[in-house]
Amino acid sequence: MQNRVEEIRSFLNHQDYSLAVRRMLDLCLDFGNHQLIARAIALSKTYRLHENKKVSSLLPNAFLEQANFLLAELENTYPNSVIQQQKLLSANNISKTYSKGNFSLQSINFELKTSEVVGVVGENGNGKTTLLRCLAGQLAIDTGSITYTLLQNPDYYDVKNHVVFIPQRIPRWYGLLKDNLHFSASLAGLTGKENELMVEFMLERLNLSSYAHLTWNQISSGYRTRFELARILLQKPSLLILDEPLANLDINAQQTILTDLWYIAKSESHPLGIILSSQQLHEVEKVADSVLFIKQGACLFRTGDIAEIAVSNVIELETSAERNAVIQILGEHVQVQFNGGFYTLTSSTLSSNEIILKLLEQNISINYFRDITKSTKRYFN
Amino acid sequence: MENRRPFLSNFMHAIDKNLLLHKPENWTARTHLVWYYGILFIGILSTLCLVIPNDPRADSTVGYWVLFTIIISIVALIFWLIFLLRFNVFKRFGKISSIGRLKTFGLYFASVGLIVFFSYVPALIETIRANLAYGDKEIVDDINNVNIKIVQAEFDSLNHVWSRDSFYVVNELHYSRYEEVVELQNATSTIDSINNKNPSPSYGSYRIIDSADLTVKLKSADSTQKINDSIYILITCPNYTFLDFQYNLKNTKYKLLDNKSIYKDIVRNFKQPNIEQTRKEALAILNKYRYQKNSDLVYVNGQEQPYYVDAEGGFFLNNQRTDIYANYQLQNAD
Repeated sequence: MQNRVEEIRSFLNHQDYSLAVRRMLDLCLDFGNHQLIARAIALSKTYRLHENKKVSSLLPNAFLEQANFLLAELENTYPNSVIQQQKLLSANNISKTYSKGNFSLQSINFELKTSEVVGVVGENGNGKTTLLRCLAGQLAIDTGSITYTLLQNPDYYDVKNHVVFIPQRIPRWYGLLKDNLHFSASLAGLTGKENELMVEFMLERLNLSSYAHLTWNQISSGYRTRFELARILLQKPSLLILDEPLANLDINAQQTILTDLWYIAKSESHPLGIILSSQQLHEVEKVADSVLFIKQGACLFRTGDIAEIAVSNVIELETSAERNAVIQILGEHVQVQFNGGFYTLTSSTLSSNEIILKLLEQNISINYFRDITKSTKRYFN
Repeated sequence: MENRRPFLSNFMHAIDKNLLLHKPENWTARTHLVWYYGILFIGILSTLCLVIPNDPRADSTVGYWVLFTIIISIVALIFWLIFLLRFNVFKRFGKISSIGRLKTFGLYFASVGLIVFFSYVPALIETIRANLAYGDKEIVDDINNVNIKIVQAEFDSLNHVWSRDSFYVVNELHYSRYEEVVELQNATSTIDSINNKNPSPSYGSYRIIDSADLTVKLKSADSTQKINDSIYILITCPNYTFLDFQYNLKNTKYKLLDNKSIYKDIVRNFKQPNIEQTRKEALAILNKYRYQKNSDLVYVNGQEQPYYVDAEGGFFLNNQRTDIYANYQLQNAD
């Protein structure tokens, strides 16, 4: 608790107000006090108002005073708690073959706990969506078993309430966006004032308040994803499965939503298990506790496994130097591949730092590089 | 929750919001909107039906109205169904109790009922207008007066002999023998017939009926003579009720004079009135219910009359009003 308050204070001191406000909302939600949540919402609205005006001046002092006052109150009253991780889902040797087409998802074992974020990566058409839909109960598996550990003898209705799947193509909403959020919250058992408060909270938390009065056709596909996420989170599922949630988002929004997902998963009041698929490997790997690499329907690696089995170092490199020059400098210890945009350098004897150092010593200009030794990126070819 | 729907009052807006926050199943069913717009439509339809001129004696225009409202009802149902499908209400997940589902079903049922009710509104308004124009008592009095005046004016042409029907009653009767005429010769009289002061002969022609049919015939007979347990003679008064109720007036508290009453009051101690004057009076009453002059009247000998007496065809009267005073058939007096 102390750490979280200090973290927010640090954000405020470094003028990371957006993050500070979001984390303050999370903190108040974990506290569970409606009055505090309302105050955090008011604080967030003050910030958004200032942000939307595009004023270059600093936030009014009143905002910082209120924020610090709220933090002090939280610091004094917030109970210390430790998240108890629970197993949410266990998939044993599940496989799926479509009756039409020649694709089949091969035997996969998989486990997920609360507060855990798992990324599923792989090339297009290799079975990511099939795996996610099987885990969500939308597709019947051919072999193996899926156990939702918190449910006893669940029927389809139970599973649908427990597990929420957000597809890449989100079904259209009808009516006002805010009404849809109220409706979902109401169906989830949040009624009256609590409903209004939690919808306001979710709109502020995902920075959607300015769009709440619009309809589905009036917002971009990126905002549709965020509204869908808001709607789903109001239903408080235990397991959240997202198929390509970053597909329609800009770079900043991708970063924001991934960070938000990570924080939401680690929530103290309602920790979630999250599985998400994406093509944005590096972004996903930054927030995911583990990443599954799916190729041709088989799970080839998990990030934890890669660390153990990686016997060579791999970096991506972008330079204006000629290939021969790079090969000459690095010698026979480094294998050089050119993928069109950048080089992939693999070495079992030199570390990544040593490879970069060698290139810099020979005045090779480096535009971009990334160590992908522990990334699933190395298996994309 | 912005108020974007047309004609939606603030009160309905508050209800909509309340349902959204407390009863999501009911909110998504949109039955509150169906009721609101349904009642609004009924109000407009009723006003239209009241405002548009309509003589209660004229041909009813309800058929056109019903066609119009059926089209509106179908459009409303389709519109509503599309709304429901758009909200995917048939596969909704969440905390929904069984009682809640039942209540929602009840709301759906009632709302469909309201939409179907649209078609009854024009007939209802037309009935109210007709009842305001012509009260039950007025119509009953007029019918009785016409019947009496026809009896008085056409007394000489009418049959005043009571008819007798003889029946032989059996417990069970095959339908092929129903009311078959049989001849009974020298049948033995029963104790019932012996006790009768004027026992009728138990031989002659009888129609065979079963006991169930006898019960029905006994109720409609004006007089009954029981010869024995099996043989009955039912006596029926001549027909003097040329005009009768149709449809809605069956349940009025005012009673028509039946054949026996007219026989007792008029025929038994008959005093000949001025025939021409009586006919004029009957005609005046009938003219009251004519929608247009020269319309749908029967002509006899080139003269316009609301009814005529014909030895072959009996009495006949025609009137345009079909739902309240429609096509009164004056029964043959034979």
